[in-house]
Amino acid sequence: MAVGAFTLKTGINVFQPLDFAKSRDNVEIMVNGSERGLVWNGITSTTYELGMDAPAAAPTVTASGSGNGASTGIYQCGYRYAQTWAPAVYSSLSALQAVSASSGNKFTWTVAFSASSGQLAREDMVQFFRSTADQAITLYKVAEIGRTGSITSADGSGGFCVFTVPAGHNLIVGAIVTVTDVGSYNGASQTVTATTSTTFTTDKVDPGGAADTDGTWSLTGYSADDDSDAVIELNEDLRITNPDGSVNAYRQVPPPTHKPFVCMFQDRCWYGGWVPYTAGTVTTSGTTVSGTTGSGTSTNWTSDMAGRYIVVAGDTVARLISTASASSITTASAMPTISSAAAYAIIASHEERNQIYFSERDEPESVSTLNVVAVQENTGDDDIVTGLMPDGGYLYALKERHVYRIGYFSQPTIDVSIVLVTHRGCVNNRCWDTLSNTAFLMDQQGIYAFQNGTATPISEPIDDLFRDGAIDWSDSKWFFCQADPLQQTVRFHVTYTDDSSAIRPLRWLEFNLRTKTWQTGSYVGELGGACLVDISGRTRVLVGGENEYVYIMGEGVYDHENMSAIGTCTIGFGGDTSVTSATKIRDITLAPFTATMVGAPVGIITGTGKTAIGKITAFNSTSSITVGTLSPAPIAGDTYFVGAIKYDLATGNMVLPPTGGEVTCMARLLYQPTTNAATMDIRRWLDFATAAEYAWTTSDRGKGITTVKDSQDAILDMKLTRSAQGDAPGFAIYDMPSRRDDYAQCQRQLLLEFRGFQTRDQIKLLTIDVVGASE
Amino acid sequence: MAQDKQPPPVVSLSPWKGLGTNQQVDPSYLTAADNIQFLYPGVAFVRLGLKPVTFSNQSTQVNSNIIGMTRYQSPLKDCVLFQLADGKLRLGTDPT
Repeated sequence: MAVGAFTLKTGINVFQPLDFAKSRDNVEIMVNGSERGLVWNGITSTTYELGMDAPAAAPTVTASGSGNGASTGIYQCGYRYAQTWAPAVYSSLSALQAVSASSGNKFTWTVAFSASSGQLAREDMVQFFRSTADQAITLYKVAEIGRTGSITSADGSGGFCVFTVPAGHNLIVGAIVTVTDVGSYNGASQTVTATTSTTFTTDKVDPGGAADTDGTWSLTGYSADDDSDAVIELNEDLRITNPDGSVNAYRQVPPPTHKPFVCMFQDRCWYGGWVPYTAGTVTTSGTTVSGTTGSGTSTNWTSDMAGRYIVVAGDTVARLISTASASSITTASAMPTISSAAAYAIIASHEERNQIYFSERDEPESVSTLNVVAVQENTGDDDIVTGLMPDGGYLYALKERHVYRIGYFSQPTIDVSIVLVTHRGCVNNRCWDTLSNTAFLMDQQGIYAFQNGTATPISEPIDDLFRDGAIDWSDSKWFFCQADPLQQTVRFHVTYTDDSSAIRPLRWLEFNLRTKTWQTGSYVGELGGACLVDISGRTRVLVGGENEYVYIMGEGVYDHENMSAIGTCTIGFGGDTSVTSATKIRDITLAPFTATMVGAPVGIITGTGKTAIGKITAFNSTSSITVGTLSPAPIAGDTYFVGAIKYDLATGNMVLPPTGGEVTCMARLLYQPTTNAATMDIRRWLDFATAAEYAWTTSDRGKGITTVKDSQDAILDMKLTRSAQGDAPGFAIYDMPSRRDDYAQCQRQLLLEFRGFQTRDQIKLLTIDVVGASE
Repeated sequence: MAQDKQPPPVVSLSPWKGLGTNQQVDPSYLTAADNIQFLYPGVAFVRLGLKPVTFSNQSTQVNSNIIGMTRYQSPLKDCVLFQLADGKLRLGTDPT
């Protein structure tokens, strides 16, 4: 089945995955540190730019006339933009225009709007603020007017132009508008003289002629600001600064674009992290840096990188970036010419590595440049902030190798406290999660539990995976974890060095909180993220895969899609001469394939290609599919299953004690018989050998397990009805030859492996006892 | 004089101790446990599957990989926001 969904935004830079946080106003905030962040309120059909820019310049305001409300004196005038649809967001105030007025004057305003379409999309209203005479401490709102709107029709009435508009136009008397696309009713600087809920009349004389439709009005100013100081003092006020000196009218600064991590903590939104941008390669000439273009290697820079620095291999100076586009950067100073593709990094200034910004209270998009705390480097280390973790009364600044606790009482700028709590860190902001009052984090040393500021290592049983190079840290920005509250597990999704071509995780390390056990998991496709969601009232874990597939974890006994039965590979037939191979499977008997199987795993159950598992990459016909790679390659007669889950369980090395002669040595398995066909391979490894032992003979002792001479696999048939003599009991014995003289150079170490594919029944093992071996 | 026959030693893998590749001294730890879970005492079983969800706003599928996702709960719907490697941010509603 195709997943598909609705597109909220295109063209997002993907060097760094988006980080998400949700405000108390139900607004999703998304940042990646490469470009300006995004917001989405859950209702609109698109996202919007994070933060609202202030007007670029002061308004143009004149004082004139007589019989109006102004006093003699100097007035301060400013305006700001507003997004009034929920939740309301405002820009900072524009620069102020000082206007000298005489008694009885009124004020006429001219305002401008952003050149950026991204900003215009949020600016639906304009608020006009004016001080009383001769003071510049407090301004008062004198008007709030809509920025633009559509015109349904235009006609004349009473000698003037009348425009019919949708309800909610937010125009008031005195608004100065430009009208377009309504023929002879067009015109700049039309002043609104009257309004109803669905019309407005202007001072433009009716041009006569036919009515017109489908126009637009746009605000350019306001001319009815004629109230006295005493009247406007009753309006909403706006102090330039707060009584304590902190910024107020200019606090709505958009959040920094270079911070890749975001979280909510105590009414404020916090932005942190520092990620060098290194996609592609560059050449340089003078002040121009040219980036690579093309699939997979594009530099794909963003205009928001202006103001950051570029460090190019072969240069000796970090250069300030003046302008940036997708593949071209202009630097403030000339660089040495580098004509061969060079590595580079774009960085925010170095002091930003450990600086964390915070918003105004309940204004997650208002982040004054003064709202910043620096995590000091008090450990003799200079690791950088890699994540932000709110937990209870504290926000934890996660660094590569340390964790600092951030707390404050009322205002972080005044009473913030930052304390080092552990010499463990976190890989990235997606590598921590909480479960049962405990946070779980991963750093390069392993995985640890974190509670009340105390780190407790929990990954000792698998620390070799971290210590000995199994994990590919070069892809660590794509690692993520997800707690599963119902299973009481935490899964850390990682890439192994063996996963040569994978960028995002194919595997996960899973810790179960109840049983205190570790296990690994794997899937044939890359997984890129996870979250919890309620489905039918149950909290489930979703993971995101390839080709836009979103999966529920732990649902059904197969991955992606399954078949009604185990199929048998066949060789080409009809006009198609292609054969079952490393990249193609044919089955003319069952003919079961469907297009929706693309992306699903296919496992080779028996035969030459046994143990191979691959991902279906193409549906050719109901009897043919293309698979990424199958190793070993299957041949005709091999059996396969789409949706198979490959499993592998191996014991530790057990000691075979000297006995002085032939002894009993066997494995006793207690398992749950399956309804459908299922087999399990049992393999025997001796003395740290690199290959499993081969069977000496072909045998079937009626104990549920058969061996074939010269095969490494003993086969357990797990099917309940495998024998015509009665149902299988779910108990099998694997006999192993064993003779261990006290002093002979005979076998001393034994390891057993149990592996196979889960197809149509869940495979359950209750006990495995190895008789004749000891610890 | 005849000696009493000693029962052979036994290594039991249950209760399951899980994966312990770093625990070479204790063979009851497993050196491989891939796609095996130990969610409750006494049983080791192969994990359940990854099943594709269906969204109520199902539309044309994009052949691009998911690189990040989050949940969004609105008063009307339970939503999933996910980012694709081709630069799209997509919204799926009411997954089942």
